[in-house]
Amino acid sequence: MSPASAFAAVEIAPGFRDPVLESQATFRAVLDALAEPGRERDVFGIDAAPAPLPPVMAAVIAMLADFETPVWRDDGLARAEIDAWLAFHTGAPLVADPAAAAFALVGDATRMPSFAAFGQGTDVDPSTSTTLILAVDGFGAGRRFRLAGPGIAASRDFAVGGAPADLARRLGENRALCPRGVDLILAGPTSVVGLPRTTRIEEIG
Amino acid sequence: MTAPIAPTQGYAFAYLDEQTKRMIRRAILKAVAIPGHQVPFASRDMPMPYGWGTGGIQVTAAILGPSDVLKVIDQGADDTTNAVSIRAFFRKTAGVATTTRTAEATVIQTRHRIPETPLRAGQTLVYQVPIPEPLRFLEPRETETRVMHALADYGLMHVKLYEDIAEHGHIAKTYAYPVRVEGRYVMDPSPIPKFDNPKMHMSPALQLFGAGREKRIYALPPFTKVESLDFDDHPFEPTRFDAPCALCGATDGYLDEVVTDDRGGRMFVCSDTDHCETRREAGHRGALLAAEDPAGGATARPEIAEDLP
Repeated sequence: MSPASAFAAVEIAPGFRDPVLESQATFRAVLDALAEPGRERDVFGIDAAPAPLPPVMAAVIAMLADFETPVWRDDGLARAEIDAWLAFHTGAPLVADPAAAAFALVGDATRMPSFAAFGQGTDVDPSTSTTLILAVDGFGAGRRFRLAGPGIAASRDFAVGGAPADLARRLGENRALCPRGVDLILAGPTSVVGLPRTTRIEEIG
Repeated sequence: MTAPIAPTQGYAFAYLDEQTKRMIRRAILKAVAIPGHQVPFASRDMPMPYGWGTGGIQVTAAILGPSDVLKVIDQGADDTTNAVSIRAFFRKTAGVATTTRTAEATVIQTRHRIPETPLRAGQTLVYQVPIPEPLRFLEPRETETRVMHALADYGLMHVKLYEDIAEHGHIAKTYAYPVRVEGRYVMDPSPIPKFDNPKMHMSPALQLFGAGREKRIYALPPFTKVESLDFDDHPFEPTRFDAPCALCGATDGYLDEVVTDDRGGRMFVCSDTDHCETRREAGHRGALLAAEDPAGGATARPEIAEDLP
């Protein structure tokens, strides 16, 4: 294969139009989302990102990942066009071992591995755990949860569609490890919701 | 408040390059997810010396956007060298709007004070931190203090506070008074006076802490429980003042002592200049102003130049 044909084999879609300011806006949305768990924050997705990588997930990973952060993606997202897009726009090493990942991209949240499969951090440095970015159908409808913990004055209710059926049980087990454990960023069609390891969660139907 | 301007050409937005901002942003997100835990980060050299807020300025640079309104205070004052320089720095490199009014700001970078005006949801307070490790003067080895945090082994800190009581009759720490976050991590609140400690508890604002020389970032999300360490029979007590502010008459603020002559003359004035000026604008007058000008009413707020040459 000549270099020219290798280049033509995978056409790389564009990323942020304005990387500096769009990264900053995406970061503030994700920061606010993790600081106030369960509260929806708008994110302008990267619509040009190759399918089936959701535009909001694309914006979050483009804002966070670089050569220092191994990225894991589930089977549905492990496609040549997406790998090439991630490699070109972030330079992040793509890894097959979820425990080695700084960020995990989960396109199908209903079939994702156990949280225990991902990096949990250590007691000395719990910040080395994996941050999971989960694609969900949307917020406001679907399974309803009541949240409490840091970032929430008393309690906050939120609803999410397309999340795993056992989300509350998984997050309960994850919270028992605290300060170790994974943190979740749920990526909807136009917004994100954060669920850090400190959040107490209860399903309310 | 100054209006936003175009940033000076030739600098990255808010000075830092994008890879540095990403690295700091990742540290901030993990810090928010683990309140009170010190997250290591690859602190950069900044165009100012350590001790002048290199940690705070990196955190501010990583979060700042064009629609933010920035306030910077040094020991409560907007008009001190450090505060003026940092405000001018971000004015030049990010073109953001700046203000001295706490209520108008979206991002407040602070050295050693929390403003008197209660912070609201949507505001972010960025602390400049010299020594992030609350156990440092009890255990000098970083390897040991990290394990102590991992094990939540804070007995040594309680012994230190107990020794204060045995020696002085009370806990003698008046600033950088250690706090416990959500019942887990003991955290250094930076050298704020213990007067300010209660303001951290369940604050609606996001609080971020940056230590540049020590390369640590930590955070308190809004509505996080922050208790000052104490004992049942020696409860934590914030500093109280006997006299009101000499300029505005406030009795609810933290006061600085100002020596006025060489014969023992002194006065106490608000350390938070915005609080003091806002009160004087509203017509409040302390003993000194009333004595100087018995007929005077409200005083105008001094202008501070925001754009340095």
